[in-house]
Amino acid sequence: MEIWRLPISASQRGKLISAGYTSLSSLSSLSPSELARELKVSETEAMDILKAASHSRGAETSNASCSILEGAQSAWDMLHDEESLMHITTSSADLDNILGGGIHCKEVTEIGGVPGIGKTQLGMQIAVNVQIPHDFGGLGGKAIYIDTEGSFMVGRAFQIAEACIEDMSEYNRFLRKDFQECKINMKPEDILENVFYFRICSYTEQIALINYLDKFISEHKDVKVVVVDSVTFHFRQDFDDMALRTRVLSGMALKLMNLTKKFSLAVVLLNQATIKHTEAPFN
Amino acid sequence: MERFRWRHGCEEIREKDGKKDKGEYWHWGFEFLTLCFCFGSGGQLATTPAVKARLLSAALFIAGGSDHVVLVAPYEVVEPYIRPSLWALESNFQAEDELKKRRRLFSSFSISSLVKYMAPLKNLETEYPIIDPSFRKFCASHGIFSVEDFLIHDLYMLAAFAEQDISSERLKEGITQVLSIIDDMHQPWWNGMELLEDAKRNKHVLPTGIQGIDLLLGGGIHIGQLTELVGPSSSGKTQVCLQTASNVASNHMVLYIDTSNSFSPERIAYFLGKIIDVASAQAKNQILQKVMSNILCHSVFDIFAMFDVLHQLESHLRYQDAGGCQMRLLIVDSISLLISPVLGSSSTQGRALMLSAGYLLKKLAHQHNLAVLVINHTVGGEGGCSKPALGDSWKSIPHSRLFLSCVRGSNDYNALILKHPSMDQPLQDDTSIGSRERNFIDLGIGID
Repeated sequence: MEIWRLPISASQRGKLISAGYTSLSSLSSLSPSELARELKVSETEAMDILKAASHSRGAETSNASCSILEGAQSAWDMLHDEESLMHITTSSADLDNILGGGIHCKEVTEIGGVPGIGKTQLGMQIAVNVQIPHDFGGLGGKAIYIDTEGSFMVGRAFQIAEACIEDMSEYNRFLRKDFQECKINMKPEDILENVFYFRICSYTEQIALINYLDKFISEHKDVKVVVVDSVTFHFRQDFDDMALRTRVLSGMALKLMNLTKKFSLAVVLLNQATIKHTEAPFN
Repeated sequence: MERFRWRHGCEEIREKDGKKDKGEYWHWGFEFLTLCFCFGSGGQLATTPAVKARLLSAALFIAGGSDHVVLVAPYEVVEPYIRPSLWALESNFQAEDELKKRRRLFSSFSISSLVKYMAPLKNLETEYPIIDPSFRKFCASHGIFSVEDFLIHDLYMLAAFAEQDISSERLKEGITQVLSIIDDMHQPWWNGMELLEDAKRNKHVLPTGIQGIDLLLGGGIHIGQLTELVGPSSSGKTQVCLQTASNVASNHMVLYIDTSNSFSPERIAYFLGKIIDVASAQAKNQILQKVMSNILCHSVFDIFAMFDVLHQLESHLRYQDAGGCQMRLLIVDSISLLISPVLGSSSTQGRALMLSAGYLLKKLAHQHNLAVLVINHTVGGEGGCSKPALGDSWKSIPHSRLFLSCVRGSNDYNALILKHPSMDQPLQDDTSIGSRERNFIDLGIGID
């Protein structure tokens, strides 16, 4: 039975099996309207099912003349790719030191801490620092800021942007004296314009947004960082089923990792830390 | 040609008692021997390997008095247990040819893979022109529309009817053709001696490069088997995999399926730097490039993508040339991360996907002579101690299981064998300190 391997929903699978289609080959000679009639579903659904079936069949019977699998990279290539990747500075030399240069692209970084320690400030700083142009050693990209707690203060972000521009002009003045005319044309308003802000009020919105990010980033190719301020805030209260919570969170983590690999961006997750009282083990 | 007929034993049982039967019986009717193979709802004969081995050797011994023994068994029963049973039986028989003649083992990966795809007869016409409309009309008159129906129907009766028909020759040819198609569908017959030869020739051991683990596992990870590394987070599982990959990559190809972005080329370069012993930096770089190009890393983030990759790998391995660098190691880091999002909800699809992933990996290991290394996490169990994730159904799938843990406050890592085909089982499955645990210092995976 190969039907269960198709990425379709459980109800569709149940309908396929009860209608007698147990293997992928039995779906090969069907047209979408016939399938829709047999399963009593809409034609678009039938077309999706047939597309998934032909895709997995195509993967099975693809000619193995290519020596390497599609999508696989050798370790040597990856080593050289990593050396050429840029980092996002956090504006703190010590932090950059620990992180190995800054926040890495193609990776998910989690920053956790007790309340009031400065995670949101760091998140905002990263959202601004990603926009530092290439000339100054930055990525020159845009940022997505997903706010679940409502702690993003626009006035503060404006201050950070102003400070960043001041920093850049100082750097310009001290080190690139021969390029006198290279003035910073950026203004704090431009920096704020390049931050896409999403406000989330429930966990369903969060899941929906993470699913939507794929499409959003394909349309805005220059997004280079996604900051999620308190990824677990909405999951801490009124979630009765702990197993479901674990499943949803791990599914979300996988999707975010997929995003980083696919679009070569960085994901920064801010998380809260709590104190858990456990009994000390007796030795 | 041996002709056999089989019927779904369930119908027979229902005829007799009239009530529903929970287990299922496959009733194979042979000219010489009838072997009933029954299994319960879990698909397992027994829970401990010692009992399994004894049951099988008893069955073989009893059946050894007849001319043919057919054993239909999933692969994990055949590989580690049949060999000792065969050796036990050998001592009871004098002549070796007698032995070879009497033992036929039919190795299959699951009962359902015996009958893979039963096409309707009209689909076969393009390939086999003998199955023309008149043949199909003849079959339809007896209620046969697909190859599956063909198997269920009484072939002697069909042949007798074909005899009486006008174009009896063509019909008989058609019947023979369909039967040969059926013969092509099942796995090849393997003799006990052939299995042993294959094991000696192909199923070697790959050393991991870590002394303690090689000692524990008896040389390293076995080709043809699925080895699982389980442990809480930061217990060194990925490092062990990276070290193994760099050790194996000097001679063979390695595929690293990465689900948690944990593959680190710098770490591989570090491990290789310690192994490669060449003076000049340029030569070292060249060797590094050659060896690291043998390691392929593929990132997958959901279980269906992993199935796609495994199928691609299967077709690639089928056509890979005999000479040159062969793929010998497949690492999945980590399978629990892919399966936990789908496991545990009210539907049973997650569990089905997990089991079929396990079987697919074992099939790849056996048929294409790969060693498969899989990483699993731990979850909290009763009493606060951690137990391996993915539950009881997964417990029986890997051939060997190794539990890694980190001793708090030092650079020491412990490894404990939970399950291994060539060793005795611990009485309980919890991580009690026993003679199998070895404390090995300096795995070489600490920070310099």
